[in-house]
Amino acid sequence: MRQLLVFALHRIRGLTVIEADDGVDALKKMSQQKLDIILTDINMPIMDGLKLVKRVRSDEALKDIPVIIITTEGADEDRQRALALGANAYITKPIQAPQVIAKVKELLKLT
Amino acid sequence: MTKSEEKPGIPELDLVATKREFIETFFRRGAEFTEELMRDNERLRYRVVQLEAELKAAGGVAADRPGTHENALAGLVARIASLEAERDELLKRYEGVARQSEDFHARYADIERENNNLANLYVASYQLHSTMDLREVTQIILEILLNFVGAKTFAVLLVDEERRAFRVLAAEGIEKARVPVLSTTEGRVADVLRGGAPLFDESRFATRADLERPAIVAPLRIGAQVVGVIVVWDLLVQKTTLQEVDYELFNLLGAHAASALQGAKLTAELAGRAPALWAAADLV
Repeated sequence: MRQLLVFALHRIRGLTVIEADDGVDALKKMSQQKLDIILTDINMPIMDGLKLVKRVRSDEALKDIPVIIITTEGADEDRQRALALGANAYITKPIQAPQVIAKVKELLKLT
Repeated sequence: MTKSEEKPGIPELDLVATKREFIETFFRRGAEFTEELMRDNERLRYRVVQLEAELKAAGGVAADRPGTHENALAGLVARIASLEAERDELLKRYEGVARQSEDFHARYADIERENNNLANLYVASYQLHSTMDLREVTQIILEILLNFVGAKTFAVLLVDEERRAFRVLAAEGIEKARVPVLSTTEGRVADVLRGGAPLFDESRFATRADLERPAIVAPLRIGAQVVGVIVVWDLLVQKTTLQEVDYELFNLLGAHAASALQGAKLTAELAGRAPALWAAADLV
């Protein structure tokens, strides 16, 4: 997902994309630089997307960053769980690039 | 009887003058009354004209046929008919505008869908040719199938012409080692390999993976030659049917994935040496 998403996100003017391999890598990168938005899958090695959301929401410095989950998990309970943990949006695959771009812009108030 | 003998304080009655005065007053009042009647008459005439004009305006009754209830009724009926015709005309126009609006909405939705489809196709094709790294090209093919098509269990198979067998390039949703061995000479996959036409078994789209019965088999071509296939055994649970763009994505992968892999493989065979693209100038 990452490559296609990164390419799609580069269509948004002024956006710099920082990639991470998993939840732990993402938290490490977030500690090094300030981010505006997080896009994450649920199924990731070491730390999955839901744990990442939980950690972000419990961290004083990160808790206000919008999080979009993009996943193959289409069940409603998965969606409810992710939103209850603090995700701002839940997009199931297959994705449409404009849909993701529109959601990112919406959460960053770029539209 | 002398004047001095008249009783004081009692005026002498002049009957003639009194009579004249009475007659004059009578005629003056008569004239005033007549004038007043004439003014009333004039006012009423004016009112009649006004009412006739109002009636004409309200019911289309001719001004020269005022007065009867029948005429007024006919005028009102005509007016009602005229208003109903006007209303029907307006309703027709409204329905026309509503239809047009629905058409515009449908066209807008079509254009938006087409725009989204084109965006996905653009991203996919751009990515396929964005790298000469074999692993990256392979990963991009898998990502297109997973993220854009919504395939869940699938594999990319290449034809090993020396062994006349398929080799598994990559798989998703199933371990590479567990991908079933598929014949290049018999069965559905072999048919696609031979005929070059993709297989879409719609009855399999909303069911769980059955490794004996693929839901989709799409050829990978270099030129006219089929050099491999994409085999999809099932789709994501939320993906129960293929859209127009999905067929286009399989067309795109069929036409470009193998050549992207071929280019990446040739680059890999250079073992780090520069590809010397300039030499192409001598080959054309």
